Parts: sequence; structure tokens; C-alpha cells
Amino acid sequence: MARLTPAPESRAQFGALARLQWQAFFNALRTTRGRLELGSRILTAAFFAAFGAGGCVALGAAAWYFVRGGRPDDLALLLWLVFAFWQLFPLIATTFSESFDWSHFLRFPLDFRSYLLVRVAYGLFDPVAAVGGLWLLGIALGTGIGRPALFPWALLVLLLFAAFNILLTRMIFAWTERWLAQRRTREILSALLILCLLGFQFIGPVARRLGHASTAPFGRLEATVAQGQRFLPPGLAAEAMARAALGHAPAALAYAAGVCACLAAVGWLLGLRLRAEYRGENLSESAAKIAPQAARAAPRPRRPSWGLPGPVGAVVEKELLGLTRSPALLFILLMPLVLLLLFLVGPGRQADDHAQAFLAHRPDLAFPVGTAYALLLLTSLSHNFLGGEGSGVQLFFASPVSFRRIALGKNLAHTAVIGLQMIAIWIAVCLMYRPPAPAVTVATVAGLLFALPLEFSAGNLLSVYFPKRVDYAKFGRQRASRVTVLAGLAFNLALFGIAALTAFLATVYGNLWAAVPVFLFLAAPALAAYLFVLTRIDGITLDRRETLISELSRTGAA
Amino acid sequence: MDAAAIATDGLTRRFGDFVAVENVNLRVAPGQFFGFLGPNGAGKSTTIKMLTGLLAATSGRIEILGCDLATRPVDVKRQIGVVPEGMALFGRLTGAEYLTFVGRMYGLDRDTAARRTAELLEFMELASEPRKLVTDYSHGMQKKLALAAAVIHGPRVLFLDEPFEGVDAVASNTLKAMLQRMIANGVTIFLTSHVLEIVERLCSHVAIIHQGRLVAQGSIEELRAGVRGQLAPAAAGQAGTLTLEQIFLQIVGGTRTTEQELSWLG
Repeated sequence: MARLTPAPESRAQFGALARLQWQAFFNALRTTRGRLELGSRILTAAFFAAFGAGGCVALGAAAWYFVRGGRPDDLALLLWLVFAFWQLFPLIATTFSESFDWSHFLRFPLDFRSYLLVRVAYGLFDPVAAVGGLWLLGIALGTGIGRPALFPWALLVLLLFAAFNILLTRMIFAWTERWLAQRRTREILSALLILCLLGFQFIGPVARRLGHASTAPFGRLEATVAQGQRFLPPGLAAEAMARAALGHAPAALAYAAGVCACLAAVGWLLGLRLRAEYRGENLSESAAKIAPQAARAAPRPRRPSWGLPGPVGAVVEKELLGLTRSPALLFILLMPLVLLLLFLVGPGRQADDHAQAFLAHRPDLAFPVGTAYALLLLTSLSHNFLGGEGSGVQLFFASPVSFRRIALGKNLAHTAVIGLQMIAIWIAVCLMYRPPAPAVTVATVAGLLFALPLEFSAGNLLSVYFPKRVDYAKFGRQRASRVTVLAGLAFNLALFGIAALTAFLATVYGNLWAAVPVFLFLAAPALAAYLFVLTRIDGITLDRRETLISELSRTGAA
Repeated sequence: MDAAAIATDGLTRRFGDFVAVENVNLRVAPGQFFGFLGPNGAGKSTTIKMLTGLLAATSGRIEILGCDLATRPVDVKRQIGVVPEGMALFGRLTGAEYLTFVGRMYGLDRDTAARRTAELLEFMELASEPRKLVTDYSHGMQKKLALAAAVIHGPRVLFLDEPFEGVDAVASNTLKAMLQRMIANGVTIFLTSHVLEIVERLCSHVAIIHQGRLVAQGSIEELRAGVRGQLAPAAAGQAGTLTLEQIFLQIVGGTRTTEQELSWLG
């Protein structure tokens, strides 16, 4: 009979995990690609450090100003800002979030507490958490300089608030992954989002009607919101600091207890999810029961639905089928709509008689902004188009199909995706703002005709030179190589810069229609560049097939 | 080179200073069931990857059915089927979708691909759960699907890297029957496996690779005779009963005692 031994010390396990990370990082430096990744990592870190430090100083100064000026209640503005960044940035820019699949470690004797701790602790290394932490430190320091006696209390409250944000981010990702993993929950979530979109279209008319009738209801609404926010985590933390600044210790303690309660609630929800993962939960689509009569049914041959012939058509169909089953990718597709929603209801400037968000001021920009964001999100697919294939990439090399046709199939599938997204965005803009002007619509489409071939050219090269295996079945863990992310970002900045400049100049000359022929003129060399890359892709992939296969067939966590 | 189904000439592959495969000269006749054996790390998978175009050779030449792989890769690939290491599956498709996709990649029209898909799924007993994604298949089911994908276009040469690993006895029998039928129809099968009993039962010819070099090649009878010649006269008398495993161990020298080792094991 096997002797039962106690589980190894958690500390040793944490040490082993940290060492694994270090070794994986260090070993990666042996290759040129690994060194390039390090360079990209340093650049990203420098960017986030500058961003974090700048915010730290600015928020610190603001906190000092509020505390010194006897307006501690306004600290809530700063905490809401930090909260919004901490929670929304990882959703909008998933490529910059740290990704790691801890489920690989479940085979080891790691107890649940250690597993939970590791998962939470790992959140500290997220760049967004680091920036958020720096900003909160700035607020604590600003408060401390303004009122030195307040510093320890502010630090404690902000530490609690930071912990809350870390847990909340993890919790949102964990639960969203759960909801998007299965068809039924995914459909419910999609339906809720569509209902939200439909519902928000009534905000404008209702607001206008109320605005015409009287400004009083808006005043009441603002007051209610101001009161209500005090009972939400950023408001609770701000109130805890403000009450302490005003010398109301019991109230400060009560609000801090509120932050603790939120922290506990979020921790409980996260624990609930992680415990299920820890027990080896299977989130797969087909885990659901299959009806007995279906169980014995012979599969019906799949009928063509897209009508494209040959291997290119096969690749397009495969790509679109995979896409419909990937929760993470579906999420990416929905994000432009969410962004439009955020710009509709988010904080904005005071205009006329009520507050309006950015796109509410310039609704004509809604369609191009939504499309540009959709194109940006598409790069997570097109700039690493082999990432989801895994060892399946071997089939591409074993089959009698030139790689250019495979790349073409992928590009066509992604074109179909962006096309669908544009239609969805156009409808959403009509519902939420107003129908885009014909010139805006045509100029945006023409701009896309210019941008898309260049995006695909860059994407095809990046996919082949810097492939990285990604698991599109997992939400929030689909990051491409850092080199790809940074190169893609720089490329997109240049591309969007050209597009924006063209549109701006056309607007300055008083006719946005003028941008259309310019975009179409630019589309010709863009298409030539795309065809040039496509003709070279066979040779490049043949030279790099070993790297591609080994990189994409790689399994394991490190 | 002659018109063998598979022929290599001085096939070599280096990874930096490490020589994984060195000067391998293989000859596999059309219609042969050929077993390619070797200990772990001997160079089997590297060789099979080179033969199927998944890995470039450092030097040497490969001909499949008379076509040079380096100059006519597409012609070669049209005629071969592969079950590579790792199986090359796409997890987010169902079995039927995957097979149809592979069929179309090999140039089958949609209807043919769909018809063969249905037949193969039925034959492999994978038809019972049509909505199940490949990622949720058991290891054995994935093996069967990978094999089905390798044959959907009717290849004339089939490369199988460990096809029976993780496959249950019933499925294994099904696969063997299918492979035997392919052999009867003139298909050449190149197989690597660590299960030497299966190789002995299925293959007419074998080659053994050891430390990157081809150390034996021929029919099992020829190898048996060769080993018999190396044995002491007393032992040679019993050599007629040598199994492929014994031949293999004799050639690669793979016996060791564990009596004094790992004493801490319970």
C-alpha cells in the first residue's frame, strides 16, 4: 500500500513556480527571437513606467490640492478614475495584459489556498495593476503631504482599494471566461449586450425630452448619482479618507469597513470560480449531454455555405468555424460595440445643458472610431494568424497547398470578420447616435480598403516571423508575441495617422468626399505591397517551418 | 535513385553541432509495410519529418514515388498521407469538419470530401458524437481521427508516427485491418512504433536507426538471420525463435539490470 506523505511546503512550490518563470525567461534569451522579446518587454515596461509615474505625480498633485483646499470629498473623482482605468484597460487592450494558464499546475500537489494565492499574487505583476498601484501611491503621498496625519490611514484604505481592484479584475476575467465558454451562457450574454445596446438608444431621446421640459430632473439625477457612488468601492474608499480628513473617525471606519466588505465579496466570488477550476472543471462546449437519439446518428456531410472553392475556401470556412466557437474571439468582436457604448455613457465634458460623452459631441466620428478600433482588435488575429493552430500547423506543411493560399484564406476570413463588424458598428451607431453621413460611411470604407491590405501584409510577416501559440478557447490569455504587439502597435499608429490626416485635411477643405479618392489612390500601392508579401510568403515559411512547427506545437505553461 | 516508394540518399540532419540523423540511405519498395524502429531519441521522428517535408534536411536527397521532395514538394505531398507526432489536429472543429477540411486541402471537391468523411467517421466509430469538438476527444479518438485524416485523399504512401499509441484493442484491430487492406491495394506504409509486437505482426520489412545512423535494414527474416550470425554457436541454434524485440535489443544493445539501482523505489 502506498505510503501517504504530506504535501510539499507551499513555500517550496512558490519558489519552484518562480524559478520556472525565471528559467523560461532566461532560456528564451538564447534565441534572437527571445532577445527581441526582451527588448519589447523593456520598451513596454518603460512605457508603462512613464505612464504610471506621470499619473502618480498628477494624481498626487490633485489629491494634495483637494485635501489642502478643504475639498476631500473630491478625492472620489481620482479613485473613480483609477478604478475605471484598472478595470477597463485590460478589457479594451487585452494584448498588454499578462497571460498565463495556471491550470497546467493543477497536476501538482498544490492545495487550494496556495493555488488561489498564486493566482492572485500573479495579478500584481500585471502592468495595469502596477500602473494602478503607482497612481494610488501618488494619491496616498499627495494626501499625506497635504495632511501628514492622514497618510497612514490613506495608505491603509488605498491598499484595501488596490487589493479590491486586483481581485475584481481577476474575478471579472474568471467569470467572463466561464460565461463565454458554453453556447447557452454565451448566447445569454450576447442577448444581454444587444438588449443593452437597444436600451441605450432611448437615453438620447429621453434626455432631450427631459432637457426641454426642465433641468430639474437632471439636477436630481446628478445628486442621486453623487450620493449613490459613495456606496460603491471607489466612493467608499474616498469617503473613508474624506471623513477621516474631516475628523469623523466612526464614519471613516464605517466606510473603510465597506471597502473591506466589497473586498470580501469579490474575493468570495473569485474563490468560487477558482475552486471550480481547481477541482478540474471542464468548460468545454461538448461537455453538455448529448441526446441519446443524436448519439447514434451518423454525421451528415457538411454542405458548403460560403461557396469558395478549393483549399482557400476550406481555410476560410475553417477559420470562421473556429471563430464562432472561440469565446475570446467573440468577445473581441463585441468590444467595438462596448466601446461605442462607453463613449455614449462615459464621463464627458459639460456641453449645453447636460453632460455629454466624447462621441455624443461628435457623432460623425462614431463610425470611423468604431471601425478603427475593430481593425485594431482584428490585429490580435491577423498579426498572429497561426497562433491558434497549435500542432495543426503541420498539416499546412504536409498538404499539397502553397502557404500563400493558406495565408490568403486566413486574410479573406478576417476580411469577412471586419466586414461583419463594420455592419454591426454601423447599425449600433445608428441606434446609439445617429446614422453616419454618406460621406463618413464611404470615406471609412475607402480608408479600410487602404488599411486592410497593409494590415494583412504586416500580419502575414509577423505571423510567420514571430508566431506564438495561443489558446483562443481561453478568455484573456490570447496574447501574441510582445514583438508582434509592439511592432503592430507602431504600424497601426502610422497607418491610423495617415488615415486621420487624410480625413482631417479633407474636412479642413470642407469636403470629406475628397478623402475617398485619396484613400482609393493609396489602396493601389497597399494592394501591391500585399501581393508582393503574399508571393514571398511561400519561401519565407519554407525557410522557417521548423521554428513555426516547434513554436506552435509547444505545450505546457512556461 | 531507382523508383522505390521511398528512397533516401545520404539523408542527414544537424541541429547545430548535434547530428540527429546521419547519412541515412533508405529503400522502401512500393506496397511494402515498412517498420522504422529505434530507441528514444534515435532520430525516428526527425527522419519521418524530413520524409514528409515538415523538416528540411541538412544534406541528402529524398524521393517519394520517384519525385524529388526538394524540387517537387507539392507533387509528393499530393500522394502521401501523414500522421505526424502531435497529430496536427485543429481542436475547435468537430471531427467531421476537420476531415472535410483536410479533404479539401488535398484537393477533394466538397461532396467527395463530405462523403468520405462520413464513411471514415463511421468506420473509425467516431460518428456517435457529431457535435463533439476534437479538443474534447480522448487520446485514442484523436489518433483515429488523425489516421482518418491521413487517408481521406487516398494516399499512395502513408507515414505513421506511433499510430497505435493510446488506441484501445478494438480500435487497434480496426486500424490494422484498414492498413492491411491498403497494403493489399498497393499502398506503401511507413510506420514507427515502440510496440514491437505490432510491427512484427504487420510489417514485412524494417529498418533500425540508432544514434542517428541506420544500423539495420531488410525483411524481418533477413534481420533475424543477421543477428543469428552474430550470436555464439550455442545460442545461434535457438535463434530461429528470436522475436523482433530480441532482434532489436541485440542490435541496439539495450539490456540493463535495475537490481542495484533505484533501491528507494517501493
